[in-house]
Amino acid sequence: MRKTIYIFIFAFLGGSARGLLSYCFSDNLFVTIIFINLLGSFLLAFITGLIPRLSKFSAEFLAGLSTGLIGGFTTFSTFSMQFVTLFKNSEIGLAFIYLITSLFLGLGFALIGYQLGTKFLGRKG
Amino acid sequence: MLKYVILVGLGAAIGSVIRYLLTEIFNYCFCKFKIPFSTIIINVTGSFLLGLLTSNMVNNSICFLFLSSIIGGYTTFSTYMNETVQLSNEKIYISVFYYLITAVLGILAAFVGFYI
Repeated sequence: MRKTIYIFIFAFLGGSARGLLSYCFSDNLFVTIIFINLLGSFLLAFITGLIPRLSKFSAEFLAGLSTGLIGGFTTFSTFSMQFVTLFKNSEIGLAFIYLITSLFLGLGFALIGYQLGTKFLGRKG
Repeated sequence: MLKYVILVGLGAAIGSVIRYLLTEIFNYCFCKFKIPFSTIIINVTGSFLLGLLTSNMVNNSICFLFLSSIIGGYTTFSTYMNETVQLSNEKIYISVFYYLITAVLGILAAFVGFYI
């Protein structure tokens, strides 16, 4: 139950951050969503790499941070819906650029995040 | 602006809790498998629902905004990428399969939801 409450509060913060960014940069929502998803992918993988060093935090806090804050910040449904929207508007080229940018860079950022996380881990020894 | 941000935040909080609870249930059901089926099911169903909402509701209504915010928080892009990386540390072909199947099914689901 405590975990659920942590996730609720953290996800509220993550979702609000996404809402704020979408509101401020509503002129180009496609780029904004790509940015949000890439940043989130990097951060979550970074935290995952660091997990063994974060043992001083409670499991509830870590669940809030990963599942809540970052999970609520990034979004998959908007990603797939934006692809459909571009496709529907006959912007097929842009749709595939959007798709490939999100998927390739998302994975790239996650890989870098995880490597950096484990590197920080190793530094302390 | 504040109303918008709070609405998206509240939706994401509700969506994330649903995602957490479903993940717990699915992990219990599919614990024998290496592939994180829970995230696939969540992202695919969320994409379908958002497609359905977008084609059937007035897109600037408060109700649409709130419901789409719940779905936005329910699905997750970061976990999808992170799980792909974690799986690649174990078995690369499972990781590639997970990476591709989520993208294909997720986009297909959004199409089906939108045009159904």
